Amino acid sequence: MRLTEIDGRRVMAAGTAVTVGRVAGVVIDPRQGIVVALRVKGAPSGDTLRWADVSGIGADAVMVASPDAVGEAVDRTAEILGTKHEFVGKRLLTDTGSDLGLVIDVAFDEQDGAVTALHTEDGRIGDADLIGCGSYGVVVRRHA
Amino acid sequence: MDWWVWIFVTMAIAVLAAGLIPAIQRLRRRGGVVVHQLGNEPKGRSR
Amino acid sequence: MSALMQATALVGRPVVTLAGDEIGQVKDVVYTVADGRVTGFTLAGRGLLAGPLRRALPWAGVHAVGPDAVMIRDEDVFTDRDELAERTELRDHNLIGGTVLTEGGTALGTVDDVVLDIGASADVVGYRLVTSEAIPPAGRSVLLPLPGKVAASGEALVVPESVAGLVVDDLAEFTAAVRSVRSVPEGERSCA
Repeated sequence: MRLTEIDGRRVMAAGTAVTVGRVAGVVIDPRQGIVVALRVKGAPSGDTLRWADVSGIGADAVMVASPDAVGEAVDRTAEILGTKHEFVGKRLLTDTGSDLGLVIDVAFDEQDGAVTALHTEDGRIGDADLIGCGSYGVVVRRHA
Repeated sequence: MDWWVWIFVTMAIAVLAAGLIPAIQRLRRRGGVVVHQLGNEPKGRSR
Repeated sequence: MSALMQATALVGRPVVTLAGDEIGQVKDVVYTVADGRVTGFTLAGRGLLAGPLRRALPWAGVHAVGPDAVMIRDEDVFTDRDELAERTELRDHNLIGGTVLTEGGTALGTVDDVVLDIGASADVVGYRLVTSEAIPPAGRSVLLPLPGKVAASGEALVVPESVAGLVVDDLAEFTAAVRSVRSVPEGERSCA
């Protein structure tokens, strides 16, 4: 699954069959390299959906058990949201100080949320571990 | 305005500029390769 | 693994933590003559109006010097600028533009750049200079392989008499020359 694919997708509560809101981005923990939450817009109860509360990601909708799954950001998610956490549009840097281009998309595993690749203007970088995302850019360590 | 007002203003500007320009230059000094001598020995040690 | 770089190319390079945060940019490369190597960098903020920073980056805090950024572990690696070099040194002791003099007093040219071998440490392995009439034709940009300790200040670099014959035109020849000189143990270097 790519960030650009899931963006805008509707979030549906399976229990009530009602659209809760729409996906408006992902929250990635740059140290662990996993998606920890989805940002949701249009939901009355909040703007954050924890990855653990997602029951399924289908071609047309992101499924949750109940509308209450969407709430306010807490713990690590809130901490990440307080930083310059956005990936898209940032420079991609290696830990050895080489610029790999601007990040245009992020690919992640639909099951465990692990970031599997970063897409830049120049191509796909799948052989790297995420180590940081800050004001200057996204930092990765490439496999030797 | 009186002539002495103009003299006063001109002098004030001159004094300000004299103080500010070197300060700005110091701030804007371009970087380079700075030689550091441990313990700051006198420059003439190489004859 | 190490790579040759010219010191002035590092000026202005962004300083970024592994967490991806930008701290500033390199302002001065501090060359500690007694060690024959770079011991750190002074920093400036980014942007048009940013001035020099009080905190400086000691070499020990450098994670990697890359082509696009100087990477540091985190924001705890800094020291105070005064720990790295004296204020007067930062103001007046820029080696670039200084005269290259032989021990006999002949001016070989002016220092244009300092060549570093960057690996675990950043050793000074030579200089780029613009030649005087002493190395005809004058006004040429050449490389002088000169690893090890030399006498240098903000005004001049004093080199052994014999090195005028060592100057080379390109980086490939320079690399070969540096490697051959550096393979000789410190105490046995003939150019001392």
